[in-house]
Amino acid sequence: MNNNTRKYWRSREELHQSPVYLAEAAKEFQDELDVSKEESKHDPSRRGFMGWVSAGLAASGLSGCEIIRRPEEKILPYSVASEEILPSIPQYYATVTQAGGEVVGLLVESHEGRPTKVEGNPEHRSNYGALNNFQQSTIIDLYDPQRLRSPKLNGKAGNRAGAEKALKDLGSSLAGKKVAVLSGYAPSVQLHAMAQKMAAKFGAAWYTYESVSDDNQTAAMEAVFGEALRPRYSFKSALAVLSLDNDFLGNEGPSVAYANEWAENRRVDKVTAKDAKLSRLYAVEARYSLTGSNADHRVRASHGQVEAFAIAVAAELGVTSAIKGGVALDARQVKAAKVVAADLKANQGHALVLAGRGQPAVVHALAAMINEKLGARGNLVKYYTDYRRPQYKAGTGDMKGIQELSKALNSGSIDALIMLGTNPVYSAPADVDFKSALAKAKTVVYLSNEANETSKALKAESSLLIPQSHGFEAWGDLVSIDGQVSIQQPLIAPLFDSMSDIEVLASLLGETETSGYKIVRGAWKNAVGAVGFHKQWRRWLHAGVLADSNAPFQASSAVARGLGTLTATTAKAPSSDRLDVVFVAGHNSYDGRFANNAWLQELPDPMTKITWDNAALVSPATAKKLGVEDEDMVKVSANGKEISSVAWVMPGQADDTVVLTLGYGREFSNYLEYHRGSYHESDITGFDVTPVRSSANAFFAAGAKVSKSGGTYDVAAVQRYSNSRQEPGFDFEARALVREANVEEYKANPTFAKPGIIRHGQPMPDQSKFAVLHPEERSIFGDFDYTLDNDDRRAPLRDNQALLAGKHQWGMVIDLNTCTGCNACMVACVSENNISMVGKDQVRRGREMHWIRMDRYFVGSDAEPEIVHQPIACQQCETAPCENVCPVAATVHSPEGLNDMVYNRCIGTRYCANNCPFKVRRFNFYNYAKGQDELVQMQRNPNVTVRFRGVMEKCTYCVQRINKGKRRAALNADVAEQIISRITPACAQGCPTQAITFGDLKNEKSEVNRLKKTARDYTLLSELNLQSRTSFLAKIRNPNPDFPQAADAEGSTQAG
Amino acid sequence: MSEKETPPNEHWVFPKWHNKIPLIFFGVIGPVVTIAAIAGVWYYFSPKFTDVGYTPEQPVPYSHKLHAGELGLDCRYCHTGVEKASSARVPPTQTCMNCHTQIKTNSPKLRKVRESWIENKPIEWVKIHKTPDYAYFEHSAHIQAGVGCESCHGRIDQMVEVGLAEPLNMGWCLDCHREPERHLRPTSEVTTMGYTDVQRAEYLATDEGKAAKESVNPPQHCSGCHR
Repeated sequence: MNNNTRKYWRSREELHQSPVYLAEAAKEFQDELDVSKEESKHDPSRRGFMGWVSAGLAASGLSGCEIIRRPEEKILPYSVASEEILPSIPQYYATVTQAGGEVVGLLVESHEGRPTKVEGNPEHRSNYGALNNFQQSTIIDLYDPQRLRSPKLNGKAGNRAGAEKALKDLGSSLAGKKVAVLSGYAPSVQLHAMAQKMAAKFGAAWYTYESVSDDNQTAAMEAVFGEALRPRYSFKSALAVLSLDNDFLGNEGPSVAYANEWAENRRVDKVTAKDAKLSRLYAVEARYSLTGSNADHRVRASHGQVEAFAIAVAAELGVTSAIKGGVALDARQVKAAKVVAADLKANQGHALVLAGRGQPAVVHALAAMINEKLGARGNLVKYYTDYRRPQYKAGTGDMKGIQELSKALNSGSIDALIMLGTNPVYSAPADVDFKSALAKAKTVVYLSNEANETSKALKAESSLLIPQSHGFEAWGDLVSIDGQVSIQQPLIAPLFDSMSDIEVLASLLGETETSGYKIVRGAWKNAVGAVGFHKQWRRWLHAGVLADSNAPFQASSAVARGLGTLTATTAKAPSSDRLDVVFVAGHNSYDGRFANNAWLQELPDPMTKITWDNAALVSPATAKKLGVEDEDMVKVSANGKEISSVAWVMPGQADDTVVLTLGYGREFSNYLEYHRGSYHESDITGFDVTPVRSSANAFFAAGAKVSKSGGTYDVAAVQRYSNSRQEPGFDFEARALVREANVEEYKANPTFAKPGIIRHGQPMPDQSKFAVLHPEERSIFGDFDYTLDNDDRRAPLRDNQALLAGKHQWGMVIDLNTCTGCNACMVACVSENNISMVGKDQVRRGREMHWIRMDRYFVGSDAEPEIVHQPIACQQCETAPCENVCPVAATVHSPEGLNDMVYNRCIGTRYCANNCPFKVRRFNFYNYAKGQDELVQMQRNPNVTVRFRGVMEKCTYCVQRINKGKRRAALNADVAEQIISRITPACAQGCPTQAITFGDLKNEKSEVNRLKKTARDYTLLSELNLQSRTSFLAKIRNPNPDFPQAADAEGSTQAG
Repeated sequence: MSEKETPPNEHWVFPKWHNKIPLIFFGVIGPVVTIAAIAGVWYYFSPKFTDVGYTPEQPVPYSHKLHAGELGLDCRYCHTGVEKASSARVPPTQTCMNCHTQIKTNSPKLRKVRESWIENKPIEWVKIHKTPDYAYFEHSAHIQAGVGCESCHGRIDQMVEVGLAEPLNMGWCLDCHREPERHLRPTSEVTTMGYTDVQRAEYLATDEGKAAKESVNPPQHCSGCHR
């Protein structure tokens, strides 16, 4: 690797020093924004102002004669107290959730019966205590004001009892009629049982449909193993991993567990301590995925070349008789395939190949066969029954299923259609045309959590529209990929007249028992026997998981028998007039079900950093050929249909490929209502891409055209321009915010990340730059004294200095080598700290409120850059620059080393934000939290102040958790040390790879102390003598020395 | 009209002392008013004036004087969890009914309690002791340190109707956080009403008292209470 050409950049404008960028960067201050229009909507009118003045005068007049109180508040104690609930002490219940068939165990925090935060259940093997962004955000779906609140029964509003009766009546009239059920992935024992009953009683056909489907994998498994199986990979001992377009660190499969396991072999000091090898990840893909960004080698290949790559590797390993197909590889890819195959072979027994859901079945089959050949079966991959589709008919699949159903509806052969919670009118590919098919159904039962495209398409007079209970309101059970069963335990009684899917089917079947609790408990009692059942049931609910002996299936022992009937696809290489289209599940939208979830909408995409929207992503070279730039409106035509979208240039993406993200452009996304405090005007986020999807090949289309359609579209992307001025010493090269090295370089020079020497053993560029700016590298406060004990705490404070004399000194270490950039920490933080969402317009103005953000740096050329992710929250500097400039002492230091922010003192000068070198301070430009629906307010964490307009806020290291831990330690002196060592901020708790470590620096034995003493530890901008409490561990890449070098593509694609 | 044609009319001329008006206004009245205003705001706008003594009417005329004073119920009989939780919970109706299913079963004063019991609806008590939403008070920490209930709540055992005894403002909090020894007592005496300074002095002189004084270090930094 030629180190001297490595260059870090945030946007292509920066890389190419485009005139726009230079103009922006040269400004010390940003242009004044024209806020007059915006202000006028929200400022009080003159009349309102006079009203306030007179009210104020009247109030001050009153003060002389009577006592003024704040508004009278009531205390409402329970009339009959629950034994367990003690007000102000939260409770945690184990439950389970699923999205798209991926089941994860949860521990939900509940304050006086009000669930507020979701964390992972450490006992669950699909997430090991962490959660991804979707799973953490499910909590606000519960409190979505746009939820359906009452049933609509044949056009008339009804209630729950009415719905039950209507279902029962319908059920009794259905004898001898044709019934069909449509659901999403349903890995539930109870739903499987219900499906059997439905088949027995009505002969009902059960269709499963997911827009983000695993059809290709299922087809491959049927070909290779003869039955529908699912692979559960294990990365615990994987040392060489090849991902063929599989985003297992993003949102494919049990990604939280995968990320966790993968990170184990990336923890440099643990690995080197055991004298073991660091794992190596290869990714071959057209889009730039999160997994690709974490790969040691990423091969940029068109969609068809991925297949050819798989074939080449398989041939190299002697897996199959030579099959041919895909799009021809170029010379470098051919060489790369050889090198990868050799590396996989060298790591036989520790090597793993994964295929992505967008790849054709043959690639999945090849991956399975390679894994067999490499001896991965057993240790690294096990196959389990695909439990997500009840009543699955071999050889079908989601896309075939929805087409069949659509045909059956069109032919009028279905009398009653029961839809359990999917939204096929929005998500089914255009060629299915589910909307017109739905109109032909005679009777429809639709269970839905929201009024959506499908509910609007129902014929009111012949349909039952029933609100769906949220997972936190209903009983059920779910089975994870490897057969771990969990009972879904509700945390709150249904807020509205809603029903769960089990309850709907039970009513329809005319069962005597229609309450979810009794159905689930009764079924399990029958299954395991009544003796000692109560105790066992209580234990299940407490642990959140059942014993493995209760699993409905075990690892399959099916023998792989080759590719079967699968053949390689034949495709032409894409060109600029015949582009490839690749459809991907949105990192924040998935298939569109999260369209009304403001937390996810405002979360930047980890790769593009776009919020609130999706875009048509093209590579820099393709953009140049097409003549489009960021924010240009384009028309994308494929499969004979056309959609509008906005162009966005994604460095590193395959050329002549458009990447379209699913799940946007929902007609009924009403997050505006959810966040009434945000000033966003449009009701629709992003662009719907389903019209150009086809059910035959749901994730790929060839021969597409993209043309500029004139006009531009505002995209709210964060982190585009550098905030820094182009002064000597302030450029990125000198600052070295991210530091990284190869394994070899690291071995040769383990302290490469220490000040003075950065990245790849280079000396820090021109140290004299710092000498000019900071002639004396020492604190302006004098030195801090950690040794003072508590008695001296009351000693007069020296000057401006807070004595860091607390019993504990908090610190944090973030390992850049295990951080995958998945954004789970951001959602965890939002959830814990009552952070406001501000809307697209405000994000465009740079007013997003996230306390922790994920910075993404490209490295190298813009054709094939590498990426480094870096989470940045308040660094808790001991000599914090923000503190000196506050005129009202609203931000001051605590004796435990926290940079405290005091909302009630803050007068909103924003001097602190100006003086913060990390831009981590966030300002409440509006009263974002004001006027929110009461339902939304139920999510709030009662231990964190809800901030109001005009105050600054920022990361506190979750001081409420620290205080709680200290309090608990004081009450339980015998286990105090354990309690203190378990204090974890929300971000660290939620991190799938445990890349964030938090703890007490004064405790010699603490993990954070151990990490801070390792060679890779460095702090940001240490030349400013900030003495940050947060430090980073430098990234170590593990490249294969034999891997063919990239041709130097720099300068080949100049930005306009 | 020129000045020559209309000689100054003596009656229209302001008397000479009028020249002193600005002087009197800016020199005497102004400062007096300003000082009075500042002093007024200082005193009348302070929680000591605005909040102390706040005694709202409660839905049930519950007398702490009778129950806690004369009958001698321990505070923690009703306000359970105060040693473990940040809040000292207001008792559920159930707690009232523990006794009042036996005693005074027909008292008209207890009508609302019985209604609450039968209808399973909470009694709506009016909140008296309130810290702002951005201040987080932790009962358990204070109990554990040995700060008596009466230090903040006053002589509850003498109140027929409970009123606010202390201002509960930040300056008042800090007074104690700076000198906690003035309010410490053995944890066994936390609920005692009328604990005297003499008793305190005796306690602080013991080894246990000295140890308590050493170990109690109430926070004076912002995040101790604000977050």
